[in-house]
Amino acid sequence: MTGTRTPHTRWDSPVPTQTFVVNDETLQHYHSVYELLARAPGLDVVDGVRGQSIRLDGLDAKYTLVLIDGQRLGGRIDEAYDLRSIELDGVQRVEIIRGAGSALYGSDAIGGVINIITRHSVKHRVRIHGDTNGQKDALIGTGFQGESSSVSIDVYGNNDKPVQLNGSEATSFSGSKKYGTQIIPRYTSDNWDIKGRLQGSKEILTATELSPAGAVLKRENKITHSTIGVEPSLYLENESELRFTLKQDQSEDDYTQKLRRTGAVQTEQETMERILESSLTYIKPLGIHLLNSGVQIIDENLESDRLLQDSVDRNRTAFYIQDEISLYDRKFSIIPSIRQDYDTQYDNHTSKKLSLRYAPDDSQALMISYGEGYRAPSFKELYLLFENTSVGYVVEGNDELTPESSRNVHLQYNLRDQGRWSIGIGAFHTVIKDLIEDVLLQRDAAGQMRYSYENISRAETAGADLSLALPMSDRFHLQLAYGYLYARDLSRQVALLRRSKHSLSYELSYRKDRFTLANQVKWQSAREPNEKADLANDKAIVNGDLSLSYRQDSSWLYSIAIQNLGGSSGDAYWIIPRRSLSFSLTWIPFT
Amino acid sequence: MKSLAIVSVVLLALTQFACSDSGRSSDNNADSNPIAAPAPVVDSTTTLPPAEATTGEGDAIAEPPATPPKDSAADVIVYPVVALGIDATSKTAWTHFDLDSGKVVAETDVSWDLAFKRTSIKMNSNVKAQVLRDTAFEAVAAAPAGAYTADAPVVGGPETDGLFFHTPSPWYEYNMETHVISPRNSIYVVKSNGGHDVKVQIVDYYNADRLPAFIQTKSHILGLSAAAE
Repeated sequence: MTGTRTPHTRWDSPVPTQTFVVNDETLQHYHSVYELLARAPGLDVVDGVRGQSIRLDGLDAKYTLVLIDGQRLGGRIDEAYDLRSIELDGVQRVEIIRGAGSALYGSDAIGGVINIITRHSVKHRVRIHGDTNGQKDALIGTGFQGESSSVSIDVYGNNDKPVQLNGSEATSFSGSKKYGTQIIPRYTSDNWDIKGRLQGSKEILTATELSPAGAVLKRENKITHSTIGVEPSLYLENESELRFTLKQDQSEDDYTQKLRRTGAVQTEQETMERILESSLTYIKPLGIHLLNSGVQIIDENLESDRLLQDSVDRNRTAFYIQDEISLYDRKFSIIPSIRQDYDTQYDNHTSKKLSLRYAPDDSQALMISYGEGYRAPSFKELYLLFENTSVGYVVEGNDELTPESSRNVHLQYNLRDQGRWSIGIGAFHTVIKDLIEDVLLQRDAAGQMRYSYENISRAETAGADLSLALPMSDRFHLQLAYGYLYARDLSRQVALLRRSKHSLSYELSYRKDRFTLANQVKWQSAREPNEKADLANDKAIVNGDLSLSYRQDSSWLYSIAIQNLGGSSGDAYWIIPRRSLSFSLTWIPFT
Repeated sequence: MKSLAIVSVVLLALTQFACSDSGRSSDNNADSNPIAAPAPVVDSTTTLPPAEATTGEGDAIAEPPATPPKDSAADVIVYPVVALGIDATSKTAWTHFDLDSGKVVAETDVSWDLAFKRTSIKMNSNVKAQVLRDTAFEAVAAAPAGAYTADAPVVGGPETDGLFFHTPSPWYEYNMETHVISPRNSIYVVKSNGGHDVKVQIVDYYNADRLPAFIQTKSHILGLSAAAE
């Protein structure tokens, strides 16, 4: 499990974990990880320039660490990952650990960790999907499975159109044309195995932007992304395990902004980001203890026209140790963990976490955790030199910045009647200090506004959630969830902008013979204003889908869905594509 | 990025003069927003000089007269309103504007009166000006009395310190939320180095495509009344 970096079943996980298993029947009409998560309560959607991401515990997307199979992802610009660019079909499940997790994962894990676990088994399949909004995607998966070795190969492509904002020439998140491949070879022996990963993709993002002065500009990002990695594991006596990972992730982004009417180029920028990550993990059971320790080295390099210098480099070395202590016949577990990060940009940072789990019987569990999180200043905040020519201001990095840090408490109580229903009640409180904000320095010699970043703010979020899973019969299944959020900027004593206080969602599914009918709806209250907010746009949002799938036999699966059933347009921060009819077809020739 | 100098010229037809009982120019037409109208993109050297009232062949005149043309039969000498978009996109080089000819000129041409660089505006050393706050362009018919001030640049300070167009407050307002620059509702009356009183309005910081630092100006050499002389 992501929460402990050790294997656990979902119920037994000592750290509260939300797991979204990618279920073929009810999720056929979604094509990205973003769409899967956007429906969940407590996970708020944030529209970014380059795509969409998720806010955890009311904290912005930059405070969420996104991992693929436990490893960091490159290509994060504007501080957030575009979860729309991650194809859902290659994903087996998504695990979300809410709350500070820096004691295991290091920087960025303030709001929590989203770990996307890819499908590893070889699955021959062809999938096509499209909707009446002009969105199309296709995937071919194949490979071979031998006795001790296997190779899984996926090739995919998609074409998403940008979404036009109401009453404006501008578009919201970018349109995307993307194709790529993922190859995972694996070899297993008696007491060791080795897994590789090769990924490559090319993507063109396009959008129309409107400058505040009214200029209509077209932007285009050409992004090339590649990953190469190897992960050998050695299984030792007494169930101990030694795992090594080495991965290089490279992302290139050519950005052009043109005046739409004449095509005159306004801005051109090239950015290349490289992350080299290696880690060594040692897991050892020792009586009532399960020790998990490791060392991680991350080397980041960025070359960009947007920097104060041509290229910047930083290296981070971290050591962590976690002990899972099981007492009273596993009814009680206590998990302390500590991580020390040494960063070439600033000295070091210590993060601690303590989790307790008490499960008096098989039907209930109480979990309490205290965690510390931190977020190292990004390259952008440290070294950026950005000039907004179409608007007219300059933003300059500040290499004196220190990490933002947080403290967080999470409480969770789960109750179930095994195999029938389950209820979960959770609450959290987070305080972040040394928040990095842009501040106006002064006008420069040419009269231009000059902004930089400083560690000045404090913020607090708190909330509660309630979830209910209720199979009403063999066929009917209901999942219901409610989330409440309180979020405040402690420096200015105002509500944090653009957050909904309440969110409610349900998924109702009905299965009969080969048919599955599912209805998913999420409701979000009007976003909280503060003195700067434009109240005119604030309204509650309801977004829902209705899908019907038919499994003909083990080879064919058809699905049809109405997305955005109520015809909601969302709001300025959660743009919902027009109502559409979508179709998908999955063909599994043989297994 | 290569910038084009976009020179927009609106030459108002001088439909009437010499009528002792009318005594007005057709200046009112300038209200129909000359900036927003599709402007011909021409080389800055083709800027039209002030038309001479008596000939009606404005573009045939190569050089503007140093002194206002006078028609003995007329009460009023009227210069056209010059609407000019000035490319001030360079962060290092100033763009120079000669109010007397209504043209962008080279830095070496000593006849320049105003110079523009992004949001900065400076005046030539032999130029003085007075500002009329909350005033409409049309409302200024003659150079007001009172003090006219020259730029007094502060050595070592920000380059806009002490410049008339930036003192005590700059010619524009800056919206901190949107970063949009809007001119204040002011008319500058400039005593040019060509000997004219010229009213100048900064109409916009943006061109028709709404790109910044293409400063849209409107200027008018204030005509001399023959009767007043």
